[in-house]
Amino acid sequence: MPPRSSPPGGPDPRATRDRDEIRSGDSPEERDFAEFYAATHRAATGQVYAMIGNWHEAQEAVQEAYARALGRWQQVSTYEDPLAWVRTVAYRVSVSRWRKTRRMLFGTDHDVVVPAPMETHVELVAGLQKLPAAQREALVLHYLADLPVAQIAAQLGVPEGTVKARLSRGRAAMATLLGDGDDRG
Amino acid sequence: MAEPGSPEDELRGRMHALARQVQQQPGGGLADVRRRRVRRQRTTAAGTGLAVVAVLGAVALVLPAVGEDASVRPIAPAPSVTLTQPGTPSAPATTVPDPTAPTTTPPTSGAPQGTGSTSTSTTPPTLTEGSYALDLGSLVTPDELRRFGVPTTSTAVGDGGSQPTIPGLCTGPTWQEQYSSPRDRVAGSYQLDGGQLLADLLAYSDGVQANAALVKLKEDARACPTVNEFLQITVTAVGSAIGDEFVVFALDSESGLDGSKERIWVTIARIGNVLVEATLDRDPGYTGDISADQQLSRDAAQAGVDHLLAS
Repeated sequence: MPPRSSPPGGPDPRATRDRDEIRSGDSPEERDFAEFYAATHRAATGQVYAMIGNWHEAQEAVQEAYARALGRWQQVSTYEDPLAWVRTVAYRVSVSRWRKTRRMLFGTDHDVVVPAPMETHVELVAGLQKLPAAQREALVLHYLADLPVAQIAAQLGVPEGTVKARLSRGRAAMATLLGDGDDRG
Repeated sequence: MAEPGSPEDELRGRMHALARQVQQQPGGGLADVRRRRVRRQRTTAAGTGLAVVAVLGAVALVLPAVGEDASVRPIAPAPSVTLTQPGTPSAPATTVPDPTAPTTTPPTSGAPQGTGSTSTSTTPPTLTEGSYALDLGSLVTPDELRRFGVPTTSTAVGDGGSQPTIPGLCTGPTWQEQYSSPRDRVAGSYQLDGGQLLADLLAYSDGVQANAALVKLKEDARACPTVNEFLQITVTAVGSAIGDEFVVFALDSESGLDGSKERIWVTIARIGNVLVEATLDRDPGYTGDISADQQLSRDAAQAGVDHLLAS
């Protein structure tokens, strides 16, 4: 099994509980997926949340992406970075207007209502939403997913210089946005 | 490497604080992922657990206006309110007489399938003898769609959605209530150039219940065309040219983000005890020709009906 991205922010304190959801009758493949889910899903949700600015939408999209990954885990598990696959699928799911419309109409597929992260991060996430999507994506992958520039470039299919430029512009914009926020405070 | 206290350092610190905070949040759970996967795989989505199938006096509730698309109207007023458990059609039902039900005679079963274009006849819709049990094989195939002129690029039926298309209307009910609690549901999807076609088959106990469900959808759409700030629904056609009867809906959605508008066409045809729903949805930003989309939705519904009839 190739190495996988580990979540930023230290070890997942709830991973043990998630692993408890592994069932005795699970196949090795299902157990492998469960381990992957336990290790990565919170990080994935945080990254998609930072990208789209809506916690519940992010959770919904990430759960949906993991469900798709589970359906083709034999293939996805061979990828160099399955979390990148999940993150990409989740982001695409979240920006699909069709799904947005449906969720708006029918509510979420989610069986559990969970709270959004603390208000202290609202300003950060709101600031990210004001950036062009490409800059936002670069910042999220670099600072939240802890990916080096080269890996971001590979994932996005753009030259490293492009990633660096996006990071530079994004940082400058965020400095202004967050600085303005501090001034208000 | 950023200098401590620099804007980059601050941004990195705030991002990591967010990452740590996210790690403390309860997640959706692996069980939820598994449920979603099962929903995507399921060949037949059986009802929705315990539900109440309330076959109300449809004439009293949704009487169509005089002279208006009488082709899609209640086959017969339901003589009673029947409480039953989905998925157990043979279970004895608790029947409560409905004192408001008019005393009219139901039409004869086995009448020929409706034909012709959109009808303005006052003849009640026909009730075919067809009673179809649903499984994945009930879904129209991509080849059949292409034969009907629907240019799908799919080679196999894709995943269906978790619910059919028409939203909860007048009272904001769930989709199950809006669709009058079908007994079974099968769904699939097909790719188009610049969009997708969604197929939903919804089975009811019999043709009368399926007819009542279609009438409710039509009348609710007329009574409550404004679903919310971003969504309008319109009934654009009714008739008997597809299956026993059909209704075409236009769903106009406006993006809350950029104000762009999108029209989704939904044709729902009834054949026997089954509603065949075909939804044509274009990708956001699609700039190709959409003038034939309504017809494609109708053709897809016709293909779905023909597939069931041939099964």
